[in-house]
Amino acid sequence: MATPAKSGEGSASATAVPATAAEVAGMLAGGGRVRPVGGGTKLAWGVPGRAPDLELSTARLDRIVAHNDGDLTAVLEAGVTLARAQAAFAVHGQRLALDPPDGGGAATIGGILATGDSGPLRHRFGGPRDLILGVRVALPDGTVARAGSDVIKNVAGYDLAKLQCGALGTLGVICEATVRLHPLAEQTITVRARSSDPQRLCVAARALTRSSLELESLDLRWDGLDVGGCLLARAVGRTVARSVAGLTALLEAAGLETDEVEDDDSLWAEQRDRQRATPGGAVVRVSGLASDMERILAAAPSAVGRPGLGLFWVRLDADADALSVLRAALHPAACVLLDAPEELRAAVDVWGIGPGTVLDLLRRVKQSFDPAGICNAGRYVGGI
Amino acid sequence: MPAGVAGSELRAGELPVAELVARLRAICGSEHVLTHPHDLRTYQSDGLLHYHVVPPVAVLPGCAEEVRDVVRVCHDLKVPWVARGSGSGLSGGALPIADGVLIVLSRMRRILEVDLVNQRVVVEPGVTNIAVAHAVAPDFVYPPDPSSQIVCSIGGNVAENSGGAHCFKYGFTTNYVTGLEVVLPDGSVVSLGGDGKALDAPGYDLLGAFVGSEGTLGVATRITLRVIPAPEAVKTLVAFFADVQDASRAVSEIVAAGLVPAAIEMMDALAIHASEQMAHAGWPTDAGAALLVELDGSASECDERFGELEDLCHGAGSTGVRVAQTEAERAIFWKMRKSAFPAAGRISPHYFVQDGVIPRTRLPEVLSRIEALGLEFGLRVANVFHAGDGNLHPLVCYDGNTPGEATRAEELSGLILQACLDAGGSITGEHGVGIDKLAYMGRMFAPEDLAAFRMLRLAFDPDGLANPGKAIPTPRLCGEVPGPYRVHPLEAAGLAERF
Amino acid sequence: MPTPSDAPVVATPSDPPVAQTPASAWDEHRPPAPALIDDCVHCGFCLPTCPTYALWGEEMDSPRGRITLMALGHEQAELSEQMVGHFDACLGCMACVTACPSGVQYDLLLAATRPQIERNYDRTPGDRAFRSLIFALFPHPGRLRALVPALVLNRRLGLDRLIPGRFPRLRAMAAMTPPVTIDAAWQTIPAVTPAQGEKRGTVVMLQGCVQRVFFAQVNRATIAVLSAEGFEVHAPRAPRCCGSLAMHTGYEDDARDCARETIAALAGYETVIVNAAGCGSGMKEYGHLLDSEGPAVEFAGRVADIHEFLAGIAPRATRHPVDLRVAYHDACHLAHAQGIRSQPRELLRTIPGLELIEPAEWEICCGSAGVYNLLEPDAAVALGRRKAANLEATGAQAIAAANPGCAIQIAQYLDHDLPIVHPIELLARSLAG
Repeated sequence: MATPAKSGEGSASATAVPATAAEVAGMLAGGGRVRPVGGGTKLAWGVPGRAPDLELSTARLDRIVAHNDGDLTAVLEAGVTLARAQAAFAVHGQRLALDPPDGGGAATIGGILATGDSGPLRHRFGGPRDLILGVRVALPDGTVARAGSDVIKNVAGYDLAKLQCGALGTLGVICEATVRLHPLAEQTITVRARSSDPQRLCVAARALTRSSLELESLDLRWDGLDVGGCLLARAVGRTVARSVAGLTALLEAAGLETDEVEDDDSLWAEQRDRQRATPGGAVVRVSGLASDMERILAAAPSAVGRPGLGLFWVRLDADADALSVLRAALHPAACVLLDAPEELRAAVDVWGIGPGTVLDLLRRVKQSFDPAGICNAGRYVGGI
Repeated sequence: MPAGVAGSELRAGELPVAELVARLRAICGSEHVLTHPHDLRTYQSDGLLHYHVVPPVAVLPGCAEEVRDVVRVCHDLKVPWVARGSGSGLSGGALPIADGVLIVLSRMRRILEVDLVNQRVVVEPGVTNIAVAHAVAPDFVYPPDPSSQIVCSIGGNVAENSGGAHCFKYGFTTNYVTGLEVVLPDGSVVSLGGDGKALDAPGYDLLGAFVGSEGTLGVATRITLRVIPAPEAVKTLVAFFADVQDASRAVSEIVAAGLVPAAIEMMDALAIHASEQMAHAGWPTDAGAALLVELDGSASECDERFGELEDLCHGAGSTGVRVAQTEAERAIFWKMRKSAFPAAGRISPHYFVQDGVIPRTRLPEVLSRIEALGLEFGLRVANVFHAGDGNLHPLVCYDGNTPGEATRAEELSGLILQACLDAGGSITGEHGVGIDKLAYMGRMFAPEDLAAFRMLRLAFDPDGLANPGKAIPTPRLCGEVPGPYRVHPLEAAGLAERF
Repeated sequence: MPTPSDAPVVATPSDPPVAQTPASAWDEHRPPAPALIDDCVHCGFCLPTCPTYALWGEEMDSPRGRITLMALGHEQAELSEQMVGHFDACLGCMACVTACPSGVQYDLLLAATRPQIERNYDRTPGDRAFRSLIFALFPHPGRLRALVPALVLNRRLGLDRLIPGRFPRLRAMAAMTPPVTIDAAWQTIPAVTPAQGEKRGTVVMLQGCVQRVFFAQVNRATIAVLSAEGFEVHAPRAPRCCGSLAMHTGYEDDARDCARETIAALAGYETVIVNAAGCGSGMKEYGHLLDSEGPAVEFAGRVADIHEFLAGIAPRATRHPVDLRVAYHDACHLAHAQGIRSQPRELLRTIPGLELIEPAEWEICCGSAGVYNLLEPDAAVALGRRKAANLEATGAQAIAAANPGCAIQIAQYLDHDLPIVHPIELLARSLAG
């Protein structure tokens, strides 16, 4: 089953394409160093690390196992692309409320969960950890374990599904996930509100966050003081026009210039795209409090993000100094270097987590699940 | 006296009691270390009365530092412990252990920070759920609202990943905890979730793993919660139906229409009858089922869709729809729902509450099965539950003073849980596994799954000091499929020893 | 090293919570009934409204915990200092009864437990002496009148501060001076007051012990309002005391004597009006106190709180404006024990110009609780401060409280000079114009 690996960063000596969770587990039990790969859109995240012995593709774990439309749940294998799953759900007027940048349709469910990636819908629906109900995971000890359940409410057993979200495949390989679905938005209108004054944008963003308008998404785009930025507020529902009127009034009262965009998909696609780096550049994910927004706008040459959640993606030059300047300016907000050339990721602290009791605990978790360092070793925080 | 107490005395003898008590007193002050058996007796059970163990010592720390020091002493002396909040849990999760310390967090009820700009609140674990709601009202709400919200503590909510009536739209405790300061069983202190100030803090989602871990991974001493703006409008109705089948169909149609109500709650005739004696809502006594549905959101959207909701209820055969006209009326609707469990005490001397979950689409068939089982066993079963989530709460009524009835009721409860599992569901949606459902874990999870849970446990608590014997079965159960549920107290004690 | 597998678990789901064993701390004369104990499902809904739980956060000083201790008393013979301490610490405010979804009759349980303690627990000589002092004084209007000059002097000079701190109970007693003037030493009220206008009926009003001496103005206001509404009001001097203070403290024999005296004295009246919350709640319990004797049960049915009574008749007298912001204080023996919450509020709302304000934590006791503030001064002080702070935070110009004990207690902890009046006084003022 193993074939010589494709070329790429830290090339593996072999690639395998298992078709079942049991096969995945069997490959982990082999003891070699394994790197799971989905659509390959975020393969470069994390510390470059040593090349694995085996690259394990989820390409054949590609079944939509179940779509229980009456229950608003679905069971997906890890290799199913988000785009394909969404198309299937849309037939029943439903969706997985998760919209990270998806690399032109290549991103898979497994990859999105493992990286904990998210998009503008996070404002209302949360991230992968909030939408996952259950997981089937191949563990480094060669077993396949299930956690969570297939129903929308369950507290039996530890929530290992959340533990796997954002773990970058270092605690095992996600083979299958049960997710919660939501109805498709019937009608949306986006109000775009521009200003070159960061303070005005911040004040307006806070006013919207505090308001009881149930926005589908609330995003910011910032291009520096010369260009300015805008807030994007996406209203939804049967009475969307009424919401838009309220939104516009609020935003104009805050001194912003507004316009309405009815055909708004491309606007949001651009927001997602800007969470990734331009060729040769870098992107840092900044996570702080909503009130950190002023500091972020002052420190970031350009950014997109979710003002209500204190979550921003900052595009930087691929430069170690630029990263340390940003981190110093935004301390103690978490600044994780995502996209960046390999040399830069090798040279700096990608994750930005120092020694302490938290790192000790993270290490113990890794040690407990993967004592031999089989899964994606060296890529994660603290060299886990 | 209950079986097993003799054994507990034996074990208490093994405890270094004198040293333990002296050190605990040095930390918390003598008045906050309970050692008299009569005082301790009042801590023998949490909200689940069927189990009781008198702890040899209980300590009531007043702050996070005292909790840390207490846990350190326990670690030094290798003494296990159980943390307890308000003691309102329904799975025996805070049941004391006979050879360990009960750490009672009910004195730690300070709200440390209300930061509405960042929509967060920082509290000590003993703060009640309702106190958080009050602290942020009227502009913000804290959505998880278990029925026991007037008494249950946030620390307990975190341990159990508590739900409530508004989960269908808003999610569970785990979706609202953004930071935790945790004392680990070795006495070290970790701050999870970037001190509650970074949603995407680097590293594993230990926050997600800790919430719902039933006190087996450590004690949360400082909890950061996310609150959200209060909806502009809330509209509530109760629709009556001839039976739970019709009401279940209404639920399906509401969801299929793309409505996302804040809450969809169902009560059957017996539950209505019980609650009516407490809340006096004046609901029709001949209703076979009541469906409590709440829409919230923007006023215009709420208005727009509320009519649709009423039509759907009528279309599904509702015999009458009552819309709450005032906030007071809405409060009475909710009082009917939220006092249903304890109010069952008015219609039956004893009862078992179950907490199984099923896919919502299987409601009609599982409810039929429950009804058939009730008839077969000759016992009344009241149903009051979160219909939107498919989270059932069958209350199996019995009289413990009638010989054999408790046993039959327990057997019936077990069969109801099995029916939930057969329907592809879960043994517990919000009450937790605790001690009560431990025997069912092997039915829901394979040995490999349980082994994976233990991997996490090992990373946090290698010595097994935190709430031992709860939530996750220990290895000896591994591989065993529990047979028919226990039928006799003696057998129960035997089963417990197997863990 | 203990491991999870060593943890013993006692699982006895089919045991009834109360085991029957020969040894018992309770004697056979009306122990707390196992059937009533069994009603408690341990849900904990009572905890947040229990004043002592609010103060200390300890299970044994909560209703649920005390019920567990009552059960314990049935299982073993020792009535320990701990048990008694937790029962003594109970204010008997009955907020738990209001809060209980299961309908646990904690009022009956407590009423059964307190006399058991008085009979079967050996209190220290000092404790006994102090309790005797209280009951030698309070239920005796004549003795209270004799004290008036001393109290007036104390109010002027603050003599209570001279009592050393090691006698906290005595100090509490001395500090608890009601707002009394010297005329209280001799004032009396007419035995019969005619109805104004067309007579609607005749009622008798209980004068009370503390009420008639220290709060005679409340009795006068009650008579004025009833008369204005068309009732002939009788106010006989007997009984001297209804026995509620003794009943709520567990002095069953004294309470029974008072109850019989009261029933005899007020026989022949269809309606017995009571304006003190504590008295009303006690008198409505005469049936239980006197073992369901026919006359007692029948008498209890004729007792009406003044607010309850007025809410049941159509108002006739003209209300004149009283421009005042008033915070309403729920007396426990009215709100919890008698379930009377809406009537006083509705009554006050009939007064033009009067703005009614609700304080936070309405359900939590002010700490007065009969003679509780004398017996348990520490808890009472903490609760009194808490209540006063909540009331002052409303920004009200006056406080309405329908119980003399509450009025005395709250007044001690107010930072500002806020008048405390009985709702009926406000109504009387409104009727007088």
